[in-house]
Amino acid sequence: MSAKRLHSGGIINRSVPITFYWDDMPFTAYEGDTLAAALLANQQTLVARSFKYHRPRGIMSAGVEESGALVTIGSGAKATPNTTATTQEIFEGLHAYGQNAYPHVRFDVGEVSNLFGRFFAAGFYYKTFMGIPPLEWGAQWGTKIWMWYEKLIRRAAGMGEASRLPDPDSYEHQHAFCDVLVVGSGIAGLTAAITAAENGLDVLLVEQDFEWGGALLSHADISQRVELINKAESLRVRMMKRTTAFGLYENGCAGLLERVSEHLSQPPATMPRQRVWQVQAGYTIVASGSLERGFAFGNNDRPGVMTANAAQHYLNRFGVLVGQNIVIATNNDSVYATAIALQQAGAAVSIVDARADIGLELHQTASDYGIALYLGNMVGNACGRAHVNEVELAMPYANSANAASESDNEQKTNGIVPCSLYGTRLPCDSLLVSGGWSPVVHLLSQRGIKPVWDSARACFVPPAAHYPELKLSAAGAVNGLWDSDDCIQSGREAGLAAVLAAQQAAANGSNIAHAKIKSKVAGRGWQTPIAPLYEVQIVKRPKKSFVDFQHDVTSDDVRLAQREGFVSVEHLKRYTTLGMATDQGKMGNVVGLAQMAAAAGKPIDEVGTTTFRPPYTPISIGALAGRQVGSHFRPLRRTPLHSWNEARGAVMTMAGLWHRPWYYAREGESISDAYRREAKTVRECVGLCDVTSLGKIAIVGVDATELLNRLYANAFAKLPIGKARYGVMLRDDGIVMDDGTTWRLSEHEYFMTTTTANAAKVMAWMEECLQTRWNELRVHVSSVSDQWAGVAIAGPQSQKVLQQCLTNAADVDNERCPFMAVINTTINAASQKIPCRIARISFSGERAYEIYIPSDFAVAVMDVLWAAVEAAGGCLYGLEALGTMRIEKGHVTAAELDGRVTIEDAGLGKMASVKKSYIGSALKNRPELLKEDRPRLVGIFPKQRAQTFRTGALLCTPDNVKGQGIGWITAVTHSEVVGHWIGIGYVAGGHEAWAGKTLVAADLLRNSHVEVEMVSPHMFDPFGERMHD
Amino acid sequence: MTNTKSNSSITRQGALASVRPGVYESGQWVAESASGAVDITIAITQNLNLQQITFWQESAAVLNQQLQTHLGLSIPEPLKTQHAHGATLLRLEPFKCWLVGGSKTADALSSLLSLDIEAASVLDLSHARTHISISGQPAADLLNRHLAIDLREKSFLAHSVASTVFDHVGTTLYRSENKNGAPHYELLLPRTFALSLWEQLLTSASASRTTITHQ
Repeated sequence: MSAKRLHSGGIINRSVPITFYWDDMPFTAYEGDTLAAALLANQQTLVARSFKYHRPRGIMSAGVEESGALVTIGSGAKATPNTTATTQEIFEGLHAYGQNAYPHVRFDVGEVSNLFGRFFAAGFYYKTFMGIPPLEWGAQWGTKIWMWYEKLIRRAAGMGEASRLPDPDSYEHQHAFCDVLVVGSGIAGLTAAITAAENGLDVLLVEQDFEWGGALLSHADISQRVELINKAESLRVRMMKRTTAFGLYENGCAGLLERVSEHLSQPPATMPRQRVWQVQAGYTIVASGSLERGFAFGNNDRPGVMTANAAQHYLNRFGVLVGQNIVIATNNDSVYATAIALQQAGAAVSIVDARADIGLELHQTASDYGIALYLGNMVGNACGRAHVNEVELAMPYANSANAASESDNEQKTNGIVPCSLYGTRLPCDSLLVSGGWSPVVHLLSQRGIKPVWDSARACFVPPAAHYPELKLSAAGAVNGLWDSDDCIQSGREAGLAAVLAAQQAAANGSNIAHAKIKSKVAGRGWQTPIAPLYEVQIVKRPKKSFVDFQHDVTSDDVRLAQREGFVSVEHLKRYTTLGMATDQGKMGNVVGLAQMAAAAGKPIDEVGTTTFRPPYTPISIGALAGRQVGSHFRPLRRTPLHSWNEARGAVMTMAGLWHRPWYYAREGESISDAYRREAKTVRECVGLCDVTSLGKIAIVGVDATELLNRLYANAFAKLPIGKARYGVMLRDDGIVMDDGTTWRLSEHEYFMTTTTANAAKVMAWMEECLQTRWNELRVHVSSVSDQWAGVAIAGPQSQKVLQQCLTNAADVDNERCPFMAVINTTINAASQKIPCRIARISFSGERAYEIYIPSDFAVAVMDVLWAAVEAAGGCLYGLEALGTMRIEKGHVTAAELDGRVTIEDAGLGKMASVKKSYIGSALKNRPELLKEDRPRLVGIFPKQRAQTFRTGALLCTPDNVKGQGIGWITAVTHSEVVGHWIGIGYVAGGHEAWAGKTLVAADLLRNSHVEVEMVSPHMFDPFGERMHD
Repeated sequence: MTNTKSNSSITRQGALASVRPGVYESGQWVAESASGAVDITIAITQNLNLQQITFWQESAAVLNQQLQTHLGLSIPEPLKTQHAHGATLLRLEPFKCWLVGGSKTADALSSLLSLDIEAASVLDLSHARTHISISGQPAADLLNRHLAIDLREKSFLAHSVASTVFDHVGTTLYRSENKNGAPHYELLLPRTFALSLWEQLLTSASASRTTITHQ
């Protein structure tokens, strides 16, 4: 445990020391550190506990692929679990905590589960479903015990703990557009961005890190990085740090996550924590680089084991030396530069290379720097408990057993090398591993590009670098290029591909030769080829070796899954959970696939890889929600009278997106008291109701009448000017779509009202009909729902009250304004004449008028109307009272017109014209829709009048209270005028079929059954005498 | 044809009438005299005059002549605008235009209303929309918090118009000539959603120093 901060080196700002807290203990870091670098610099190497076995875990990498150092940042409502310490930027006052441990990660009682590891093999959770014989053997016992221990398993499962408090942070969304989106600011990405910008394209460059440079950040020499950044900036490349491209979608759409304020100690209150960008790019260049992977060997998860490249990164970026006595286990050339850098920084370095021959040049270089070499050897076991303190070397088992050549052995085992420990131990305080490099093909895979196995490079690579049809290129190490010059060339080619695509688009698709772009830069590779190595499999002394560190998936788990028949890579993933943790298998996938291929006796390319899906790295749910939270969860629709209603005590309720007055409670009144009073007042005197939410559509044109006649089931051809008519609209299949009134304002102009629920649907339906079926009709339809505020004034006193408000009271006398008449008139308000439209129509069943006022005048008019209503002893009434009155009358709403109902079912069959053709007229006559025993609209009374019953209850015969019944109840209310609870609903055959019989309103969920009888749906004033007056 | 255009002497109460004018910064109202350059100016239009004009292909010439005579405007190209004498004509659909504002529109409307209904029809939507104009260098960024429209200079030039959605609500956006050298956009929001959308816009604007006025 001898990691330390060097006195010099790195690009951290040593002039700005920062205090942070690890498990509430204060430590010092520097500006520019990650939490992982700061923990290493402070010798905190055991920083986490594993998922299942609670094994000690340390820092394993230096980037997003981290599988070990998962910590919780912050506390309380701001606690964010499962944050990778390797990407968390340090800031003053940062509090980080170990997780998945009790009492803390340094001593965790949960580690006892490691002793029972053999019971937690792959799929153990699924196997528990089968029960534990003999306790649950047979159908008699079922899985009763499982119900008990399932709770224990659930309690033990999970990584970290999300806060149950509301998220105090804000998030937002942003749209952006660019000619070229470049993902990744490594040498290839920067080169691509510069090339595209030099050719006049608008380039957006995004980098997930908080520093530019990608792999260049691991280099001691920063000049190349600085030069490229300066050039990109000078070319006005739009550059976004701390921004991860988490998904690529169709048509150049990319999803980005910007961490806006997570790195700030005290961010401004208005600054969001994260911002999700939806970027539309003309061309996309993926320069996402590659990640170094390890390989499986005994106890390869010990703190102190990390990738070799990570050690170089900590050294050159943060000035942190990860150990004094370092062993590097490898199978490729890439570690040698790392070894030299570490040796030069003061560490003693040994390299254990699986290859017996590494070529003279590398051999000589290692020798020149005093690096000890163990060729043809492998690390078989990492020793130590809380930290690695020595490694056991291993040699291929076959070599010692029958002296078969190493290459033969590797070929046979496909990189899974049975070995034996032969006694050599190397003391160390840090074990660096490199099993090769895996290109980050995730984003390409998301676009449907299936990576192919490159056996020479031992990795999955995209099959090509350029995809003109997708307007997409891959640049740099994502193509399996390990050499800087190759990456520069690849970046340049990608930039030019973007330029050519832009030129092609500008030339309207004429075929500009794409052949100028090389299909793929070949790449020089390493001096000595990589020797595939995915697992050092210790024979006779098996050790627990991990493939997916986050989910504690071991090599044995992979083989067990294969033995149990999960031979598809997709099944393997789901059965073992390999690659399903927050790192999405960035380090472990290739190793697991190789193990599975070996177990199946297949080459890796036949096994293939799983499909990568967004997001590339985890995203807060809050970021996806953006600003659409709380009161803005959905857009709120307010009537022009919203504040006016609230000021008069309206309690609001949601009706779709609308906020509508529900009831107007007086002091001491419950909702029940209020709506009963309101409905009674309307029946006896007068009431005023905001009905603005009804849909309103203007229909104008010489063929407007013809359009209505085709849309409505009832006749509209002869509707006189100045009259309104109730209409019912059917769908093509003969089912009722909507109802409402339509007013004829002039020869060619109509004003249609729809239900609140179907306003947009009806408008879209009319547009569709005009544009696709009847484009010969000269009609324009326009939604005017926002133009007009609507008020209903209803009750025996309504005419008298309204007359007091009109400029000309005679406008609404019985002669000029009989039932269903429409007038244009004015209302006197503040000595002004405010124009309005009035129709004498009624939803409540009382004499009533619907008044429509231009929205900006609604408050002025309402003041006048309310003054008159109040003076007459009337009241304001809300949706609940309105509902009561319409139930009493048997008037249908969207609750009854639910998409299953015919015009006959709804009791409106007499309206349907038999003289004309209209939408739905043919299919409404299907035999199934004409059956006499179809559910028909009925009124419902409780047998015992004092009883009530519930909306949603099923109507059943008393001898068969089960199943789906013979009908259902759509609405229930207490009727003051009827004198008890009443309901409306549907029952087979209608009320006549059940006259004198008793049914049961069965609420099967709550086991509440009430005897009811079926009556006419017109439960009050059945002949409409009150509204016709 | 019914025209609901009302007596202009009556005080109208728009959806954003309750929004206070002032300077909004960092999530709070600050004194107008407080130091700091104004990033964004948002002007809320009171007494909006918005007329929808619908026509047919064969009547376009007649309508054009009327518009030329009374407003000095002609029917714009689709998704473009024309501006003259304080009035802006937006062509939103092949046969649908919106006429926004302007002192001469009353005369023009009488003339248009006299046209045969087979040629054109006019519908008053003055109360159906809430009009706000947004200008300033960060205006495009602010709008792109909510609108998925490419507002880059080369893509959305002055006199462009787009029908889009703001938090799933159908909204009309058009761009006028730059104001004080900065981009100038105009939004027409459905009245009943306007306050809800305004609240969202103001929250997004809190990162800038925003001056809010009524015009």
